[in-house]
Amino acid sequence: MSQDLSIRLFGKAFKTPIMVASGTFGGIYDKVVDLNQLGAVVLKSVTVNPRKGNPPPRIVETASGTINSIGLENPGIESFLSDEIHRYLAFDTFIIISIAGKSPEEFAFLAKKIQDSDIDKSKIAAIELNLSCPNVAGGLDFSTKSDLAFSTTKSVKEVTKIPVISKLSPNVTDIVVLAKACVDAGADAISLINTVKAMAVDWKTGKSLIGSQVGGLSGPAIKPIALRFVYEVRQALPAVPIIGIGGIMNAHDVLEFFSVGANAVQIGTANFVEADITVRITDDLRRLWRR
Amino acid sequence: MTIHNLPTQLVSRIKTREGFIITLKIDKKIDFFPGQFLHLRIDSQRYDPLLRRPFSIWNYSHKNSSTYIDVLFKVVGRGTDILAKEDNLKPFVMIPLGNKFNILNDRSNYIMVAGGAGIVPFYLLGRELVKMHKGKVTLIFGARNSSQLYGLEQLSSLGLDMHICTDDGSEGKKGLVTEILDELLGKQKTDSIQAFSCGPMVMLKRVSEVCNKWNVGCQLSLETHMGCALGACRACIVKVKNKDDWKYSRVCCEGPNYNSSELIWE
Repeated sequence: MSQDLSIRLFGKAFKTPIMVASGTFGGIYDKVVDLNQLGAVVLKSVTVNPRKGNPPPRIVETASGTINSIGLENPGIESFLSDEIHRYLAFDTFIIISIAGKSPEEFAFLAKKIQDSDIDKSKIAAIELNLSCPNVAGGLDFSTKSDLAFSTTKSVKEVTKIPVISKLSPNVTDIVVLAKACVDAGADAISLINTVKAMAVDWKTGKSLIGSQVGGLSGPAIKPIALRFVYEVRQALPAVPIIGIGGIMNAHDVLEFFSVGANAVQIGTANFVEADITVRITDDLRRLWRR
Repeated sequence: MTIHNLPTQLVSRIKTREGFIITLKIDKKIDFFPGQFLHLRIDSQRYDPLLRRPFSIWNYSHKNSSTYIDVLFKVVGRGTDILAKEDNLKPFVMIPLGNKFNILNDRSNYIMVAGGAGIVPFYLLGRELVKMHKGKVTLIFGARNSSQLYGLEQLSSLGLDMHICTDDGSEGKKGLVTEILDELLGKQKTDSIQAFSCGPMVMLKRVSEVCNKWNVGCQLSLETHMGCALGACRACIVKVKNKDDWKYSRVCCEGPNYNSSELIWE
């Protein structure tokens, strides 16, 4: 018997609670994965202007994890809306657009561009605010300072009717303060966690193995950290939809996130390990999930 | 072209100098072009090591409905160390990936320049070029010492015009591949030549300079740290010219083979 995996989030019906995380999907993945089977595709963060990104090496493997520092390489919002997004609009799955700005005003500018564009809004499930990219100067401030997280979320909510997800960083002392600030500002959901700030070095050269010196750790190594954060936010905020992210490799991991209070999950690094991992996890979840 | 992600069986492992050639069996008939690569999950039973590793395809053959893929590698880290030592692995392979070498059919002389493990794409390319038989196919193969002349015995049967050198003179001529290349290009009509090269970046840079000097087009096969191999993560980038500016190009999708004139050297 095939278990129904559909869920409702901010008034929309998602086929499954499985989404792919920003920055880990795109390229020619649609040649390997049936996107129609996913709950949503979160696209790579888009910025106001095109960005070339950080110098290589941009990725290095560590124990059960990877550290990356891509630096938000993207074509900029104009090209994104006129070109890139159309590749995904063709599929029968929700799209979540991730945006990254240098100020609350830039976030609002990006959200308004999306709101005012002629793309089919019924396919856009949400805008995810990348408040927490560790690989861009100033990028972490939004998710470490609750007043900035508040004003950013609020300024976006004021210019768009599309639901807004605030994506939080684990690189903070108290996640609950940040989550509350976003919810108070009107966030429709919280997603967490982004990568954990980290470093890998080669002692023989004394140099970092990442071009921009430090990067963000992801993969199975961070799952316990992510579970703790989801748990804490759920304890403090019983009602807000939470999308859990961090080291999910299989359906058991998904159910662990559900156990601590997540309503849906995003899968990131695992896409690099098995390109069609989301589809496999979805199949397993149909057998394992007792709703 | 369809990209497959398939379980494989590790059927054999032999040493070649200080490197290894493993044979992976796949229960499907798949063809490759010279210059393409595969992305190998070394063992699907564990999360450490986690990421896949990209490998050039050394050789392949079909038997019944199966494909046997030979992968030549040297041990550089934990992934290749496991691949060199352990049995009972359950590897998964994503194939075929990347663009093939762009062979110019109007040439009569082809020269391949390899440094160390950079030899790997040239077994298939050499075989293909000899099969096309348009003229002379030359291989200039160099390494630090004879223990790094991986696959030399296997290459000897292809019918290539071989020039071997080592930094320390332990096998072949003592010297650099670029010195031999310069000498060879100086002796012939260069408008009939196409060059290919793979190896360390410093060597590739010098190969480009020599080819440039003699006005010979050269394709370079690059290796970078790779994440997804499907163009999403943007980890495996290299700097290329972009009109008056530059941009990062993804080695997995736009490469791994580039004309030397496209690249920006630092």
